[in-house]
Amino acid sequence: MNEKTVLFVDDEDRILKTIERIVHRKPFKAIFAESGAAALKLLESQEVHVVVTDMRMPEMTGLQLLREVKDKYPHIVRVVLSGYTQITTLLTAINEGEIFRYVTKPWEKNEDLISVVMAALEHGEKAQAVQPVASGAPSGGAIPPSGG
Amino acid sequence: MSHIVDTLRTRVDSAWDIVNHYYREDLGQEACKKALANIGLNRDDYIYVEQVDSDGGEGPIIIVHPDKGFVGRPTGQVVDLDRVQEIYYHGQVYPLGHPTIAGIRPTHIATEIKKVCAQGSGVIHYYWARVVDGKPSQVGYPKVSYLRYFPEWKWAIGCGAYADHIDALVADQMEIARANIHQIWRVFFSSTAVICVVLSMISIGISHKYSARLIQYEKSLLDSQDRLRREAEKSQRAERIFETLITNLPQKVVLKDLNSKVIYCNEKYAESLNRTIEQVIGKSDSDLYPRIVANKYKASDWTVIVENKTMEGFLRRRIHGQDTVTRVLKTPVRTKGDHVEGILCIFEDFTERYQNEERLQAANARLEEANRQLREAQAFLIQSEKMASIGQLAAGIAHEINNPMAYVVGNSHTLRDYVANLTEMLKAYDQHFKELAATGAPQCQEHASRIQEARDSLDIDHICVDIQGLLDDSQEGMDRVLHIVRNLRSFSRIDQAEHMAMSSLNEGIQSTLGIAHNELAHRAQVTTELGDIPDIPCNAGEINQVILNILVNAAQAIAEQDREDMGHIVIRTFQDGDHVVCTIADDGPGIPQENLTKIFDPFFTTKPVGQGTGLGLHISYDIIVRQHGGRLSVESELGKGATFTFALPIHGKPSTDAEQGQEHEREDCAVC
Repeated sequence: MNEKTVLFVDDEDRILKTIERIVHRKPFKAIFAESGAAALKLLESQEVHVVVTDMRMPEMTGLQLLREVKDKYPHIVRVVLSGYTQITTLLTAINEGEIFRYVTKPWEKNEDLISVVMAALEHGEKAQAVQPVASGAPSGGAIPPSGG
Repeated sequence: MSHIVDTLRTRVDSAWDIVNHYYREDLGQEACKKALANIGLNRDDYIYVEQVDSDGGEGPIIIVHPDKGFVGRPTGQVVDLDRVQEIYYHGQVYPLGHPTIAGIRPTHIATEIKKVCAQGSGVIHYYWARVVDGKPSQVGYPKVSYLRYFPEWKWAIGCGAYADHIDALVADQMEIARANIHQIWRVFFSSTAVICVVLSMISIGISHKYSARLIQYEKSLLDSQDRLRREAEKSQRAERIFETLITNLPQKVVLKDLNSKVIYCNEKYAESLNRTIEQVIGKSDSDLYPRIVANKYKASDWTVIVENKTMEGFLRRRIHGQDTVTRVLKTPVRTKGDHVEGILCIFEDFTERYQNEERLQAANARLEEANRQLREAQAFLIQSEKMASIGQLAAGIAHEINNPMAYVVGNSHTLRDYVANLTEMLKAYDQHFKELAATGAPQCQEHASRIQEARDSLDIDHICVDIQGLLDDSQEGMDRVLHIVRNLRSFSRIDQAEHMAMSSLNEGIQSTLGIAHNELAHRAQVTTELGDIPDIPCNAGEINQVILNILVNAAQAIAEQDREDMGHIVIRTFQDGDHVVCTIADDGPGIPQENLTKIFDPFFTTKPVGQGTGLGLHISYDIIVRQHGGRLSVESELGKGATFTFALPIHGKPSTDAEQGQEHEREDCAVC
């Protein structure tokens, strides 16, 4: 079974480090980006199954990133991890970004965050299984196998 | 004798002038008669007037005479010479047939008048039966009169003098003369010739003196007539001015006597009663108005009369379905001695002015109300904005805290895991060293001893015991920060849309208690008895504001009490029919009865200036009643605390009609 990759995006370095510690030795590969642009660059070179992004970031917001991800890589499951919980932003994210989960900062237990990520991976797998039958299109075929 | 005739002529000519004036000015015969009758001389000297054309066989009619009994009667009736038994002749009265007066036949004035009128004027001699003690005397007195005819009215104007009167005057002068003679006699002892000379001289003197007195008499008479004429003219002018004034006044004017009978009124007053002036004069209020109204008017008249002072007021009546207002002025009419002899009433229609004033007042009231509403709305907006800003700020802070809290919390969890692993590892080391030391190898014992030293000096045993507490305490601190942030977010509800959403009132109470914790902590113990109530459609952020407002007010009231123990606040929630109800009861000082109706009014505050806006409870009222269609009330007994109760409909805000109904209900209550 191929190891799945999860991309975490947050402009706050300490958040990424915290997450890195949490996902250490978990059954998926975690990669990190400190901006939307960096995230898109990573996506070009790696196959990613789940994107977990912050909302409030300079230059490119989480929402802008999610829109682009949805357009370019619709199979990637999208999760929001944000302390910014204003209803309007939240609704826009859900409606326009078609996100799988919205996790608020701070999360209560590290396991909660892991379980959301695991659920997202599982959701992606199921979607992948259904998609070829429905559309016949290859899923993420152009993306090289994960590495490094 | 000619002097007497001259005097009589002067009097008659003056009277004739008066008659002529009245005729030319068209002032009427009656007024003229009155004027002539007023020319009083003395009982025996007077002006009389005969209506010449009215001779019905008993002579002309007397129309002016000082003896009122004679006026209107034919002269023949008044002076019945047939009854005359005696005749006055040169100081003596002789019976008819006496030789001294043989040949004298009393002449009747009636026949003499006719003769003179034909020639315009002249002197007449006749006999007159003088009235003594109300009865015509039996003595016929010779009399001389000067007569002048006024053809336009066919009046004979006369003035006469009795012969006996003239004789008496002469006798008086003779007596004086005699006294003078006697005096002269004693002084001069003069001879008869001298006496004759003196007598003749005195005779001349008498004649002069007599004439001088008559001239003076005439002069005073003329002056008196002149004055009378001027006064009559003045009086007439004043009367005309008065009448013009009263008639043209826009007010209704009536003058009444002490019995409330109309003495005088103007046409406006009469018209208002649908009568003529003549129909009103002499009538009392009882004749002119319904009994109840008349009694009321009489009572007010009497107040004016008894208190002897002017009364002014407004009379409101409904006439033909129209509300009217009359300004009434009643003033006593006083005599020179300040006695009240009547009452003058002036009525002025004030309806239009009153209505204008009322309209103005209503417009002013509307303006004031609009101004008040504007100020209220402005203050309301400022306060609401302030609250919203505070909420946004709180929410903003909460969000800012969230990010660092995310890695603090996350890392602390990881740290706990790491510590657990390290502790486990340490235990494993311990175990292995103990086992090694137990082998008894000296090298091992030395290492064990060094390890123990290091362990002791680094206080590892204590750290192992304390590290868990350290992590627990940190966790507790983080939990509290998270709780505060959650309450801040929950309270401001900035996370939620502004529209109504299904929310739990109990959760709102809990989050608000978290926010108000600092305010309440050292003042009151809060007990919650939160019942099993359904979620309701509401704007939770606003409902929380209401709860916070009531809680903070309660805490402040308790703090003002200067009490030693803590206050108590009990919050209960329960379901009552289709409402969820929340009661917040404190054991503070309570609210005075007079403030209970005003407590929800805008700007009502009992706090010192600058400390309270007086809007907190007003906005609470607005939120609960207007925006949620609920109820908010307060009960309180002074010294026993206060209980605020609000109820929110489980199925949301009722329709607009019901809302308006509640608006009125509240306004009524406020008025009560």
